[in-house]
Amino acid sequence: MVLPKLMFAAAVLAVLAVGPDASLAPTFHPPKAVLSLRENLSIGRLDDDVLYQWTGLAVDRAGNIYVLDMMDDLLKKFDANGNAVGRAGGKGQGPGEFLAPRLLDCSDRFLFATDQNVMGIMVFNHDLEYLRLIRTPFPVSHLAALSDDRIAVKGLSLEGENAILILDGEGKVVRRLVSLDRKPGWLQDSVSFASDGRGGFLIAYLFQDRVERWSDTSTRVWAKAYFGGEPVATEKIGGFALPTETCFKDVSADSRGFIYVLGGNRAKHPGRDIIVLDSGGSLIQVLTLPEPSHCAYIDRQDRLYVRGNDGMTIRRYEIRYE
Amino acid sequence: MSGRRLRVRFRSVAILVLAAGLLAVLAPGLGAGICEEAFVRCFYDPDIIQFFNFMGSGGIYCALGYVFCRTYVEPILG
Repeated sequence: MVLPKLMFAAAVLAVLAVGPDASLAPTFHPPKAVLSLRENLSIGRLDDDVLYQWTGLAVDRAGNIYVLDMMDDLLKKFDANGNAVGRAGGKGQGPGEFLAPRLLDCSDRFLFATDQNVMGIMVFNHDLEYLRLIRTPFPVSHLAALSDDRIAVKGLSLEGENAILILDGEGKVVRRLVSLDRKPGWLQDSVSFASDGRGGFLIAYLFQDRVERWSDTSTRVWAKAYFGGEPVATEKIGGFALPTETCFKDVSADSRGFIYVLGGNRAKHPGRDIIVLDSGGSLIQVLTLPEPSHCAYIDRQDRLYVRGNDGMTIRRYEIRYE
Repeated sequence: MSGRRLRVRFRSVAILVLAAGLLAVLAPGLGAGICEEAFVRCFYDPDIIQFFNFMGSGGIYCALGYVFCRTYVEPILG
């Protein structure tokens, strides 16, 4: 008796939740482009063994989906229809093994993965064969594959490099994207970032109300706040002023130039509100997911991937432009 | 639900219950959320700090865990 009711409630919630939401700007009148989401694939259910708690996700040009699972420490591959086609890794500290898998992205030939306990980036091919480790002098807090031999990384450091670095395939720094806005305090320069598809970068700050767009000439085109711009609250814990609110958890862009930023605690629906911006940073609308997600990944065919069932499910949505 | 899945679910629930119990004891003194608590425990864990200081990264490891917790874990634990 309880299960059907729960399923019904979940279905109603899903219908109500996925769609335009003007919570950020009640007086906002959207321009022509109005977006909506339609779920077209779901991988992993509560009653199967496909996924336990996935973290990093990447999708190649063919639509194959790669995901890191931190419960069984595996790198898993699914085809575009959601069929499991491979797995690699496993718990350990050997080559290609994981203890705490985190980030993942892919280029045309390679997959780039991180582990919280490893200073560097593990490289696999699309057949999930481990190739090598690109060593970094810092733990990688975010990465984006730009090509087979160019990876943008942000390292976590307390007082050191305050920039997104562009590394080659051997880990050599070939460019710096400088001047991240680092307000006083710990972890204030924590960011997620993505290519804008036009040679530039989109940067969303985790602990600052700030989204930026950078051009390919390392020039900041714009920087905007979407939650009032107030500084994030901090709490003095163990001698450290830890930021205790999150603003933006992830950022991505589609082929039309729309920018999708996943809101954190500051959003009306934390982890569920995706703020959609045009290429100039103006707010288009807010899409609200049925469940909280830690990521909002858009593939080359403009499909959105988010978390479901607390990490046991990958949900893929078609983005509809009306 | 398969046996493996059940075991994983049981382990997750057990960890959550233990974490919640621990937090219930510590919370009045700390006034902090689960990610802050995890950070403090990490930072004052002599084994972790000894190892990562040897690696030259000190508390950065714990900070990385804190960032991950705020991004990933917090929405699950509410």
